[in-house]
Amino acid sequence: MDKPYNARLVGIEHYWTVIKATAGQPFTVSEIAAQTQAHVDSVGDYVRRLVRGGYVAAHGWVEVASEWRPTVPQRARTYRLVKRAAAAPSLRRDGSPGLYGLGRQQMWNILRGSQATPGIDATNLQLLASTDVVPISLAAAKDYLKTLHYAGYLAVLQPAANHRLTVYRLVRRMNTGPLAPLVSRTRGLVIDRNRGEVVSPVTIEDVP
Amino acid sequence: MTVGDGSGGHSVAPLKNVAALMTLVVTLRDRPAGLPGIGVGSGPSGFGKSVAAQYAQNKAGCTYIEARSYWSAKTFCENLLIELGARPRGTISRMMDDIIDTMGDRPDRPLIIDEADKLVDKKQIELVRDIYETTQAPIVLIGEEELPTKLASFERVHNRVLDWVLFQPCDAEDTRHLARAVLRDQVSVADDLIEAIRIKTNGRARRIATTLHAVLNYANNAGLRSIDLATYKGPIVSGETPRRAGKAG
Repeated sequence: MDKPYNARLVGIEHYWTVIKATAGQPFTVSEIAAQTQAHVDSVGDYVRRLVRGGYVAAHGWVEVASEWRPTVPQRARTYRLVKRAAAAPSLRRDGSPGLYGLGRQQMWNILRGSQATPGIDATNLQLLASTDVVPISLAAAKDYLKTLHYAGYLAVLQPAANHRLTVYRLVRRMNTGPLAPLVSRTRGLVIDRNRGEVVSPVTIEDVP
Repeated sequence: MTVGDGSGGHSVAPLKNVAALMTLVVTLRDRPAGLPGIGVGSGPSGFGKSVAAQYAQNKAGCTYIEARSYWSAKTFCENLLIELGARPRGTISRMMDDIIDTMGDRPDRPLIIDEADKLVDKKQIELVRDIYETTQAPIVLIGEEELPTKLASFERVHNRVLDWVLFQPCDAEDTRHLARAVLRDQVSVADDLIEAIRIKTNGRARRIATTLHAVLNYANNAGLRSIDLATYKGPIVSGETPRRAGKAG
């Protein structure tokens, strides 16, 4: 059984884990908010995006007791999960997929693949991981490699030298799964969504 | 030759093999109901099959797995489940049920299996057919040039192939694009050198890329900002087995 509450997950990742655990049973926004210890409005906003994106459907209504006026019956909307996804869908307000985090996911996919097994530098990572919809800048590729290296995901195969960038390789034991590690800049953390844990606190230098 | 400016050009998207595989994935995903949903991409090693497959993974949000020759049916199921974001547990039939459940949730999400000839060799391709039959999710099999022939002996799989992509050697345009991607704006390469590289490497993308890295190295060491066939004295990776040179003289 998956743990219902995971203090290390934050934001939509956390809401989504709890919503997935409902396994098609109806839920209300306040239930998710209570389980994730998040604000009702934050959860409500995400659930509305999920509804518009087709991941969650409105199910019906349920009677709930109001805390301050117990005698007056209140109604709350119930929702049901209709489409699953491994990672929390990142959606715009109209439910269309947002591009946030896609670049990192693309780079992570390449780092796990056979192209990166002999070692990869930022230039090649940029080339292989960029798509026409989500291009990756050289600075972003350098930054992600550096951060993953600090967090212990990557080993240096060849240090940088004249005209040559650092060549990295994914540490086999740190190939934790398909979801890209999240970098939380404000907290200086790298979060592994596959293991559901904080990998390491890192110092991140800003890339100009 | 001048080199592209913005970062938008630094992608493998314009390469013809990448575009062809991308078209296959989209065709499979948007096929009308009733049409078969398996696609096959095949070509010799070093033609950029895996690069194209991983581009399709990133662009179309596909599930991607690379088969291994030592895989058993069990390890195939385990690895696929991990890529689908589920936890592998139980017997093979239990895991197959989990695979089908998970993929059934997202029948529009294609599955790409790289090195699929290894699954054919071990007859695990029947598992893939079971997955396809029960989920109808688009499945792309990528493998070496014999893959289509090998598949022919599995008629039930073969019948469900909607389209075949044969990977082609790089043409002049592809080679020029790779040169732009590798050399960026550091060094400009003359067309005669690019053409010589394409011919000597037989258009194999991997050899072209390796050679271009050697060109970049050579130009940097020699302090050149532009280079052509006459000035380049470094290697061109032709893939020939090295032989001891004859007597000097």
